[in-house]
Amino acid sequence: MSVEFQAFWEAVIGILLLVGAAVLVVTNNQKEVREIYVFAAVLVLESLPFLSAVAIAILENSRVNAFSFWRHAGVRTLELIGLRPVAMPTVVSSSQPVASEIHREASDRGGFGLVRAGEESPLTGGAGRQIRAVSTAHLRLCRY
Amino acid sequence: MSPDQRREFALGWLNWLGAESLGVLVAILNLIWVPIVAFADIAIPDKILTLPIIASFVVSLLHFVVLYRLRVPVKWGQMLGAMIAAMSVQWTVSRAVANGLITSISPSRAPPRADFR
Repeated sequence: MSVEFQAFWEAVIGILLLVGAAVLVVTNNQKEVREIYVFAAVLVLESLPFLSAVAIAILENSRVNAFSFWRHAGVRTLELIGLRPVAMPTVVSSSQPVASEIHREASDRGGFGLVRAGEESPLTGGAGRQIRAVSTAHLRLCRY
Repeated sequence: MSPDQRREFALGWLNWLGAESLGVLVAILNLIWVPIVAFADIAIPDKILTLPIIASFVVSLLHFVVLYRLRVPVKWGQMLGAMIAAMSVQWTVSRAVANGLITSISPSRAPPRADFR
C-alpha cells in the first residue's frame, strides 16, 4: 500500500531550498561575502510558499481538519469540566432482533418489508399503524 | 471576447505568469546556482538573483496587508492563515500554467462525453 502525500514535490523543493541556504551560510563563514548571505536569505524567502503547501497538506490530512474531532473534543471537554453528564456506553440487550431476523420475519409476512395495517414490528415503535400495506399486485400495476 | 473580458483574461494570466510561475522558476534556478556559489568559488550571486525576489516579496506583503486591512476585517491570526493558504498554491498554479502553455501548443483532445441514454 502506497501512501500518497499531496505536497510531495513542494516538500522536496522547500527542503532543498532550506538546505541550500544552510550550506551557503556554513561555507561562507571563512569568506564572509555579504551577497552570499543575502542570497541565502532569498533562498529561505523562496522556500516559504513550498513550506506553506506542506503545512496545508499536513493540516488537511490530520484529524484536526475533521469536524467529528472538534465535536468530540467539545463534548469531552464539557464532560471533563462537569457541564455535561458523562455518556455511558449503552448495552444492547440480547432480546432485540438482528437485521437478518427482521428480514426473515418480513418475508414471511408477504414478501416485502412493510408491516401490514394494525401489526407492529419491533423496530417501528408504533409507526407501523400509520403505514398502509400495499399488495404486490398493486405495486406491479403502479410500475406499468 | 469583449474588451473587458480580454482585460480580465490578460490580467489573470499576467498574475499567474509573474507572481506564481516566475517565482517557482527563479526558485529552481537559484537552487541550481547554490552548489556553484558554495563550492566552486567562481561566482558571487548577482543582484539580479536576489533583488527581484526581495522586492516582489515586500510589494506582495504590503499589498496583502493593505488590502486586508481595508477590505477584509479579520484578525491578524486569520490574516496569517490566509497568507499561508495563498502562498501554498504557488506550485499548483505554476504547474497548471505550464500545463496550459504546453497543451495550448499541442493539439487538444475533447473529453469523452457521458452517455445518458
